[in-house]
Formats: sequence, C-alpha cells, structure tokens
Amino acid sequence: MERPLSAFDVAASWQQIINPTAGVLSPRENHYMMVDRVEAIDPTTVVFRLKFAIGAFLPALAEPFTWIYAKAILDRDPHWYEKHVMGSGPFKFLSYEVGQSIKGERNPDYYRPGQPYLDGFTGIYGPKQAVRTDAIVADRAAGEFRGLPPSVRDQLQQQLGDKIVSQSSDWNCSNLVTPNHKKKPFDDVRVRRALTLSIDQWHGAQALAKIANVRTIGGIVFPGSPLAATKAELETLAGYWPDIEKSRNEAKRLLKEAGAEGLAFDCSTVTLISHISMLRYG
Amino acid sequence: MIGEWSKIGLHVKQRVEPMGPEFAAMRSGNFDVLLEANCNSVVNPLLDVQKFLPHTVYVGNYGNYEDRAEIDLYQKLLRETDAAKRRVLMRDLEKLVLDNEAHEMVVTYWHIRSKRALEICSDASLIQPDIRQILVQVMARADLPAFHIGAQGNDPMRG
Repeated sequence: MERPLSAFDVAASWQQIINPTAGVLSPRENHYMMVDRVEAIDPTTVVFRLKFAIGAFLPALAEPFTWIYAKAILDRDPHWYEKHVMGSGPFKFLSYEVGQSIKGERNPDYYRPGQPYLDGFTGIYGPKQAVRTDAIVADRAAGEFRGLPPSVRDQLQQQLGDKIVSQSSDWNCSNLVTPNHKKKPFDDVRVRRALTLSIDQWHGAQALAKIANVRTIGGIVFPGSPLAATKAELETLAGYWPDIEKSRNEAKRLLKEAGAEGLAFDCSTVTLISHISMLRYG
Repeated sequence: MIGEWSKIGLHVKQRVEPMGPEFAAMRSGNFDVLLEANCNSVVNPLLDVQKFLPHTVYVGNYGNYEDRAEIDLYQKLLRETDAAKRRVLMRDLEKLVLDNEAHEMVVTYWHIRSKRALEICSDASLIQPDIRQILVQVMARADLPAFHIGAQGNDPMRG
C-alpha cells in the first residue's frame, strides 16, 4: 500500500509524539518540552514553534525512536503504530517474528538516487553470545549489534584477521542503579548514599573492562561531551571518591545512623536481549 | 555490584527477569533496587539527562521520587544559552542527582563492538547523523516520497 507523504502527515505524527492522545504512550514526549506547537502550513512545509531557544531541539528531531505516519490513519486510530510499520526510508518492511528476526527489502523508490546499496537485510536475534560470534565467523552475520567483551573481540580478530573491523569507543549508554524511593529504607537518602559510596568505580571499571564491554567512568553526561564532568569533578561526588576506604567508612556510618546495618535487598535486572544484524546481498 | 555492597555489610540477591515481567515490576514499583542500562537516543546532554528526572517529568524514570528543586534546576539549565553557565548548572544537577540525593548511580559506560563488514543499524549515537539527514531532506523536498505500509507486525525498533 502506498500513498503520498505530505507535511500534514509529518505534523500529525509529531503532534502525537509530543502531545499524545489520552491513552497513547509516548515515552520520550518530554524530549520535546521546548515545542509549543507543530503545524503544517502547506503540503511541503512543517513549522515547529518553540517556547524557548535551545540547540538540542534539532538533534531531538532526529531521535530514532520517533516515526512519521499518515495523518488519516492516526486520526482514525492513534494506536495504529503499535502493531504496524510505515515509512519512506531506504528499506521496505517485509516481516517481523518476535524473538527471531526482522526483514526488510530495498525500496526502489527511495528518494536518494542510487540508494540504498543493499537489496535487503535480515536482523536476527541472538540471545547467546556464542550464537552471535559463530554467525560472524561463518560470515552469516555482517555486524554485531550489542557489543562483545574484549576476549571475544580478540578471538574474532585472530580468526578473521583483516576480514573483521573492531570499533572501540564509549557508547552513549551507561549502567544505572536505581533505588526504589517508595520502598523503605531507600526513601532515606543516607541509605541511598551508602549504596553509591560502597562502589569502587575507579578500580572496578579497570577490572570489568577486561571481561565485559564496559570501560569508562562518567557522571550523568556522556564522557567526552563538553558538558561532561572531568575526572577531578567526578572525584568530588559520592561514589567517585578516589579513597575507597574513606568512602566505605562513610557508607557504614550512614547505614548505622539510618538503622540499616546488614540490610538485605534484591537487585533486579532484565535479561539482555542481544541482537545481530545479517545483511543479505544480491 | 553485589560484591561491592557486601563490603559494607549489605546482603544483596540478584534477580534476573525477562523483559516483560521486569518492566511490569519497574512500572508498578515492585522492586528494591534496579540495575538498568541507560541508552540515550538524542545524543545531546541537555535532553539525554532527562532519564535522571522524576517520573512526573520523564516517564522512563522508575525511581519513584519527586524532587521539585531538581526539576526547577533542570528547567533553568534548558534555558541557559551561555555555555560556561550551562556547564556550571549541569554540575549542580549532577551533584544533586548523584551525591546530595543519590537518586541514581551511574556505573561505567558501555564500550566495544565488532563487525565483519558493515553495520546497518547500531545505537543512536551512530545512526543519528543519517537519520537527521533523511529528516531534513524529507522536509525540504518537493517531490515527496511515498509511504510504505507493512501489515500486522510490531515495530521492534520503537522503544
């Protein structure tokens, strides 16, 4: 099914993302808190009127979780996006099997002449690391989506030589510990501070970097950003003190003061859904 | 993490859940402490740090706390156009979140991936420039592209 894309579709989609209809979930709507309103003034022009000036607005428009769907469909069923895929990009949706694969084929009418270069792609879910690495070695997979530990990278490098490229950089992705403030004793800031003061970030990161795909210590801002804390700035914060003994002694003092010595609790986490991307050529 | 916490006398049990049940627990507040992966998608610190704001501002925060001072500080940060002053405000926000209130703890950023030839889809920091270009072109062109509608499939790319 095909229909022309117009600025009215773009405006209607952004209105749903920024100010969703009641009952529609838009988890990142607050990334657009600077937007006052969105309107299409003709079929090829969309105007975003902002409440205040902020440079982050333009990259926010490029957020990959957003979508552009047809106004007529959104008007009829604002939940339509939950079970359907629509787009004007380089590939046309072919199929999606939960936990198995997603497939796309080349869009012959893509607006960038000569692109995309591939005839299609298949993305395969590979929850087990061995499945993902075997697929790369056997040349069934062109890329690995979620990252691999250094030992596996080295093994692949040994096996494949110049047929493999390893990219090493910090991701804009951190591990985050979130205490539930509504559950006692985590409503007590002394207990929360004790949790962070007990962690030896500086030595822990060095050790973890040898066995896992983590490495750099950072604060709330992505390391390397002009807005990120320097190491000296981080070291002034609880959880980043260079003297871990001093830090843990303070943690113990806080726990005692809060009456939470010997506290027992669950730390819950989600099973990592890993993913590989396989490209189909020709 | 469990080993580190044991060094101050805490007894921690790890609970690993599939995505569905875990998110249900997160949304209902049925947990003690979460270990999450915070993968950002705007690649601009002013918006990426929203994960650290209370749930009333950012629905993807599951800490179940309210903090008016933090929200006010964030609003001031958003509107600051002087780079030096913005950096000072970001440090203030960081100290409030990670130290004074210890609402959240950030432990190590992710690193390393391997690929045999070419990666078609990656984390937001890598694909964003292309998407930005596509968006700009879609909005600027008069000979507009056509929609392609796929039938009956969930969109796995949507978070």
